[in-house]
Amino acid sequence: MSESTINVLVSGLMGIFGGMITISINGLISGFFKHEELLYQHQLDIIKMKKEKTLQHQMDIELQKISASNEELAKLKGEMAQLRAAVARLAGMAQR
Amino acid sequence: MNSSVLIFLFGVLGFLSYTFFTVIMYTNRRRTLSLLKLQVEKETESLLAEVEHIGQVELEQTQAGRELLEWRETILASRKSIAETTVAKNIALLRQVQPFSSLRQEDLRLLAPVIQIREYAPAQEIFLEGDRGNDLYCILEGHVLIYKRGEQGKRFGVRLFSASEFFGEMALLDDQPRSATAQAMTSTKVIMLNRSSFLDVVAKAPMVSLPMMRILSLRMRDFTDYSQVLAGRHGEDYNRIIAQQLLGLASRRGIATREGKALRMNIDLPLIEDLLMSMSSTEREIVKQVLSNLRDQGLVDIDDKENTLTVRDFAALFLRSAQGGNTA
Repeated sequence: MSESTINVLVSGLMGIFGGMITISINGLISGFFKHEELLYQHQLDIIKMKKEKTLQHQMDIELQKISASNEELAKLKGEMAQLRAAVARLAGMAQR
Repeated sequence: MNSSVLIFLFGVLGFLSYTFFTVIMYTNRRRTLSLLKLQVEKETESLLAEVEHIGQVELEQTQAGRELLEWRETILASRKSIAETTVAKNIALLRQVQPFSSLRQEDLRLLAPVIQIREYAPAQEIFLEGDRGNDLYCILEGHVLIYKRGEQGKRFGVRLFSASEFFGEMALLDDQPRSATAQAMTSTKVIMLNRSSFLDVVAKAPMVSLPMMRILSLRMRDFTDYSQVLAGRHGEDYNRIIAQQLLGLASRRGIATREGKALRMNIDLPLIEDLLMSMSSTEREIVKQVLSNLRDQGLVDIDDKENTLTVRDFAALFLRSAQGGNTA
């Protein structure tokens, strides 16, 4: 084998091994960062969900208030109908 | 040029460029991570504040509110566990230093949350004479020299402190400006205890101050001896002054060797020279000369390769320091 052939073979082998080492080291570093990023991202997602929960809670409280006022309103309406009936009864008695 | 050399150069160039890009990538991603971490902390704090603002009574009224309360409990529990770990770590550190090593576990538990850990580079000043400081320092690693400046700005060493010892207690007790400068002689790690925190702990557990008082009383005795050394400085008799300082250093820092009579110093020779120079307020050449005389007289051994100094005969050195004799 000539010297140039050996050189080409050696450089090729060096390139292959160098590439393999480079890829694995890069993979390790990237993997580590990706893992950490995902962890923080997950925490941010949880916080986002909890923020939605606060909104949900506020909405539920408002709904509770509305339903309470609706009940109050229905009660008032009932009382008003009773009053009207009483007024009508009184008017009938007066006419007689 | 030989093609093998060319291939080798290409290889080196490739490796360098790969390292360069990897470092850039690493730095960038670290920055992104720290930004993300900050964002998580900020968002958590704001949500916790919001939950506190709504109030427990109102939150218990809805399902979503109860879930938020559960989340808050989890966060607070994890924070408490982190704080517990820090306290346990700090207790272990407090056990390494003189004034607190003999304290009971429950007293250490009071001190542990209020201490801070600081690191100093060699020659870095920890505090300056005249500073308004109110912290006590306990050395975990390294050596700290306390010195004052003379009339012509000349440094005058007062004392050297090493691992497990404490300094800066005067400002802690009397709330006055620092009476001297403290400088790290080597890489130094210290525990810092603030005056108000310490007084709070002493109010709860008075026994905490007892070991410190004991050490302070011993220091008062040392100070009396030191005053006697200063009083004996007739006609700048450096042989005697340096021998006396070396005796003091050997009694505090010397480790008995197998022969029994000799005391090997547990600090490096250049540092010993620095200290003797500073504490005797003299030049390095004079210190070297006196040490060389003491070596010729068979009182000390100096190992230049190992950078160590051994006091061969403590009693003989004591006699030598009492007699004096000018060399410089």
